[in-house]
Amino acid sequence: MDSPLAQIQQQAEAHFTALARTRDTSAYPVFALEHGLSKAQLAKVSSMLQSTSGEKSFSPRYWLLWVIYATEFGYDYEGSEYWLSFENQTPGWQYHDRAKIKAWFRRFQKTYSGVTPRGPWAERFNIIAWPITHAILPRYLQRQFAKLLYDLRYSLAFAESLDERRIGRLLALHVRPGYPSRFRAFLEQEELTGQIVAALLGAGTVEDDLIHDRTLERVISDVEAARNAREWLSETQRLVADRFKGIGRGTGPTRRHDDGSPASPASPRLAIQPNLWLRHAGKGRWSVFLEIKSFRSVAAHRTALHTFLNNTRCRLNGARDFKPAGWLLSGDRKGALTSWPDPQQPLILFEQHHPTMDHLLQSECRFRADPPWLFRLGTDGNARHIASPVVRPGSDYIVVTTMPPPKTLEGISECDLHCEGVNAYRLSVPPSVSAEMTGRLKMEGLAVARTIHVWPAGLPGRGWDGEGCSEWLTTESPCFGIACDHPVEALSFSLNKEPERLIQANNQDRLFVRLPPLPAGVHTMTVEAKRSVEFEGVTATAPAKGFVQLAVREPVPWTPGVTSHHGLIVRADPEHADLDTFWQNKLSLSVNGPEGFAATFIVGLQSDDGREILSEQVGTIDLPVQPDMWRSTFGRFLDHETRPWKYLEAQSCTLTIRAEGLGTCTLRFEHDPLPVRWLARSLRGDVVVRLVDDCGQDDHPVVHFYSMAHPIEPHPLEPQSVQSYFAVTPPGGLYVAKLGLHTDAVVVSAPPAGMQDLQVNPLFPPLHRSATALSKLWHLLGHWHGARRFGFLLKIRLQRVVDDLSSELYSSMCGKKWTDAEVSFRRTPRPNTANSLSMLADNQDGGFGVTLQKISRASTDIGRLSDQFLATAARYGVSNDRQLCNFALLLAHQPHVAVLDPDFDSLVAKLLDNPAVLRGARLLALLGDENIVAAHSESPT
Amino acid sequence: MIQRVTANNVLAGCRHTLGLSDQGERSIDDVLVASLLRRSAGIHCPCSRATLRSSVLECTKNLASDDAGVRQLIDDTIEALTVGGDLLELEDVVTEDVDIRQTWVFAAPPSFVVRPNGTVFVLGVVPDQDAFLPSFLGARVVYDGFTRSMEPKEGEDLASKLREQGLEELSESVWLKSPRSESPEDFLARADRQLSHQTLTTTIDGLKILDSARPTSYYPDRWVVPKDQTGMFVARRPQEFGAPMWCLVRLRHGTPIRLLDLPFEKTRWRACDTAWHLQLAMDHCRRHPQQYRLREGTFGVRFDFFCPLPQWAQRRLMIFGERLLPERCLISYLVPSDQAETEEEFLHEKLWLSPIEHSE
Repeated sequence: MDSPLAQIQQQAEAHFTALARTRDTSAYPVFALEHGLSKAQLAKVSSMLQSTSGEKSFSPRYWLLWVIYATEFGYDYEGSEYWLSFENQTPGWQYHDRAKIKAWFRRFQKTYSGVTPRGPWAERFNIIAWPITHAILPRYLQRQFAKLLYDLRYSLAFAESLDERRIGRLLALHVRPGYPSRFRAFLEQEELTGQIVAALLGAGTVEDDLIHDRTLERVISDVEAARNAREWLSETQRLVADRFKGIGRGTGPTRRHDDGSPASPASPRLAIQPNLWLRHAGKGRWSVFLEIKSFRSVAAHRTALHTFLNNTRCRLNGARDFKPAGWLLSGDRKGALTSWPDPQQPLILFEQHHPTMDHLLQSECRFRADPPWLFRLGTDGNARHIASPVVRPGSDYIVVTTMPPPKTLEGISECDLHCEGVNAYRLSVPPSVSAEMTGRLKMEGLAVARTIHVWPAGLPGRGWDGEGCSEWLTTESPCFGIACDHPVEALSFSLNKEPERLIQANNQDRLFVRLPPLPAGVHTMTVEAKRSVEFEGVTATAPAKGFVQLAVREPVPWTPGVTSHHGLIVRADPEHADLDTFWQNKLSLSVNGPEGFAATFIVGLQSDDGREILSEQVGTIDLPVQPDMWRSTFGRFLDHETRPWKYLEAQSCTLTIRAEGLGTCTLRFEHDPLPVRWLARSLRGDVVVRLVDDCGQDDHPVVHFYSMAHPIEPHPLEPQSVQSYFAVTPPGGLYVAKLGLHTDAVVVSAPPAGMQDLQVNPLFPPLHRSATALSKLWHLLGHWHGARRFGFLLKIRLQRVVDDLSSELYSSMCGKKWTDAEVSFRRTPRPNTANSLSMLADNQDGGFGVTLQKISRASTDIGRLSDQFLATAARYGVSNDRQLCNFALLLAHQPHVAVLDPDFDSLVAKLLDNPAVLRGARLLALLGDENIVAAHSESPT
Repeated sequence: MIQRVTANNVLAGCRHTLGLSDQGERSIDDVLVASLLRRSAGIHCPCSRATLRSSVLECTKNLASDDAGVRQLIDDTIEALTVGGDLLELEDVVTEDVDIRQTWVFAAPPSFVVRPNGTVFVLGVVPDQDAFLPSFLGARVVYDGFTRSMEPKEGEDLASKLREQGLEELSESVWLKSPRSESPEDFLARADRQLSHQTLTTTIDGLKILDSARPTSYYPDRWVVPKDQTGMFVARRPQEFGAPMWCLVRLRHGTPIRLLDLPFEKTRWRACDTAWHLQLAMDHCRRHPQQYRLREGTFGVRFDFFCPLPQWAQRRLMIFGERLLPERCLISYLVPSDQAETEEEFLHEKLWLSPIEHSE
């Protein structure tokens, strides 16, 4: 008789065989989580496999049960450590057994048409990708999944079509960059996620099940049990309930774009036309700004566009600064323009080209090419650009032109526009415009309108320009008031070229009409007056006709903690930083708000299971907060001994910025684990470290240790020996692991046994003065500087190592005499030591150094300083190579940034041949021009 | 299908979209205007008061028989929403252009304040949703004038539920924040020092002052064009767009010789709040302090005021009491009898007000 394990194995084989057969027609893959085993059976399988694994060494006889077992670990996976919990609960498990697991999943895939992990995440984590993908929706992603549905409730409720693929696609395109890469990878399985959504929202019976009933029930039940998920789902269900009723699966063949992504059914024009505004800035001065609609609707059309928008910086046509990547995806934006936009270019310009985006910008983000540009002036001091240069009697305008303003025109006055390249004048059109004035206006490129007046009635119109453009939500029934400047019998209406509808006006001077809620896109309502009979023949002009453009979009749900237009304006660069960037204090953060208020910053760290492991106040800073103020405050916070250890445990981090009644903004930073990564923690007074390798490659990582006492002497470590936690020997040092394209480095500082070893005294062997050797050491310095870091007295010790190693490298490249003079200057920074240093810069008559000394005192502008350095180097015959001079400046100030230069090795070789260039740059660095640091930190090359 | 509708249909549709009960109201009342202004703030903020005003004025055009009355109602409601915390009027702030600092109205983030009697004021505006609470909570919101409140059910921790929805609880210390206590003499001396550092190089057209010499009982009558007054005065001067600017002027025989735009630098208080506070100090120091009237009633003590009160003072009365329609005065609040004495102390200490003798 077969053992219980063998019986369950047979049962599972039969189950998956049957399941694979039913999927034949749909070609949907099978997931190992669809095993159909009961909880009791699962417990039995786990316990028996765990008890037999050591002796049987993972017998292939039960390969399918091992696949199920590994998948169940994947289902409970919490985002960071798969193998650790697997190892702990599976006696006899060994590192090389991972390959067996992968092989069995491959066998499952071939035997039962199982799912194959795909995408960048699966490539990076190519073993654990199997059990986690087969787990469908691991528990740790379930709450995020429910929240995403809640955030997209309006999109779901008003979507044109609701087949699973479209729902899945909607989810995939709206996921924020801050989500973990695994969640994004999960959402790439659009049909699968679509079916889960349909089931969660009660879409009814489906014909082709993508997921086995019992498995789907289990996932749904777990999702609903996640914190707050029930409320989120209930609210989403309420909104979409009617939408799902009666919708069968599959809406016929799906039209596709060239890239394979499904096209939207109606493909309406996207409502992303930016608006140009003039705003009264006080004292008769006007400024120009651009109001830009969120590009979320663009991103929703194609994955490639979403990726492009997420990764590409943009600039407003007429502004100098670049906006961070992803800026256009974070809601509606406004930006000031300092020069008049070039009408030949779109109003938004990206740093890189993308054919589809370029086409979109050319068609939707242009404004009138020829002057004059007309702005209708409101009573609030805001003037909005209107598309056609047609003025209305009794209205006020600002006219922007490239010509000088007219000198003699009724109703004009001066206008001081704070914008390069154009002139402007104010124009008050009298209620009655004479024929002469009409002629004069025509000469200025302006026409006078006599048409139908339309305005939004009841609800304030979004983006209403007073001339027929407005924005509405899919949830609203737009109402308009209509008045004619002459008696009319009736008004004829038509929407989007549909048959016209005649409404009797009976010579009333105004009436109201209501439209039904409209689908997202741009709609046009045409209104035409049907004149009274007595007017026919009296007037020669054609009946008045007007157009109203309605840009309709889905409502954007409110997300707590996300600033929209509250009194707290938070800018973060990069816009979507990860946890490491934030914790290494590399985030540029500014918080604008009124003076007299203060903002309190609170940092929270959460573990992978959502547990709060740290919640502490960083400090309270008076508004406005500039990036430097934030960096120094957060720097002090990070110096605390215990916080780095909490960071090591963290999967995500929140920075909450709270400014009394002004608002709260919460920034979220996710930890995106590297496939090869060091883990460190404090264990009973010891600092312990281990290496995690999730690459799943046949090769092993190359691992080196560099002690703080001997910072450039590599100690190779066996990869197997560092895969379990081991205690770091004092004083600690730098651990570097490299596998293929993946490298991770960590500096760990361990407490000494006695008080005498508190400080470290790094020792260096004589450096070999060759370009290859020195380049390697500069890169090593980059690791010391850029590695994640933890431990005892770390800041002081690490600074000492970095300072001493830099000195050794400069010394090796600049020569001994120079080094002695530099040491002397740093010890006593006085004019005499500075002069000695200057005299040594070029090994000639000292003229090069003396001139540089003068430059360092006079120049504050980085561009100018770089130019002057090059000019001085050329003048004294030191060098006329601009790239080399710029590189030398950067190496002298920020070597850890300079190592990122793709030509680093060859430039180091050039400097070795011509050390005077580096000595000159070093002289400027020592004389302390901080501008170079600031400017070069923007760009490594 | 496009259909013709009446003005009443338009208003009914508005009420429905804004989540207001439609019990046959056919006029434009304060509840509707408050909701329209919140919606407009969600669209336009940060913006000026004038933008909010013109936006709501345009969409209510021809919907009421009395457009002038609607205009006044809109102005009053913008101020009421600012006092009530839905709108934040912030001075000298930067928005899209770092070189330009202006006074803007911002939409307050969704938040709430728990009153001593347990009811909760719900505040804030979000762009695309007139009601940001999910339906199971949103249905319990009571719209009363410019306020929105919720009554907790017995044993219910309503504050927790609102926090879970992402609303921020405004503590008493935030909501009731007021300027530090100082004597009216010190306050005026401080203002005088700041005014002394200012010079005036141009003439000011259209200047109006609050004449401290005129009776304190009727506020509108105190606004005059300067004639022969000498001394320091709260004043307003017109600007091309928006409401006249609040300032402090020194006059010599009716001619301005120094001018300081309000509010003071690095302060959180609005210009009008600082101006009204200064005027209360001036009235006190001239031995004609502003007065308030008390009337005991069944439901508490009615406080009547004859001048505008700074936002921070009104918020306090709002929390502890309830705003009433004013009768022969400018502002009225009903305060529970057991709280009335504390509020009187506050009025004496912070605003230097005096009760009218022999109140009814």
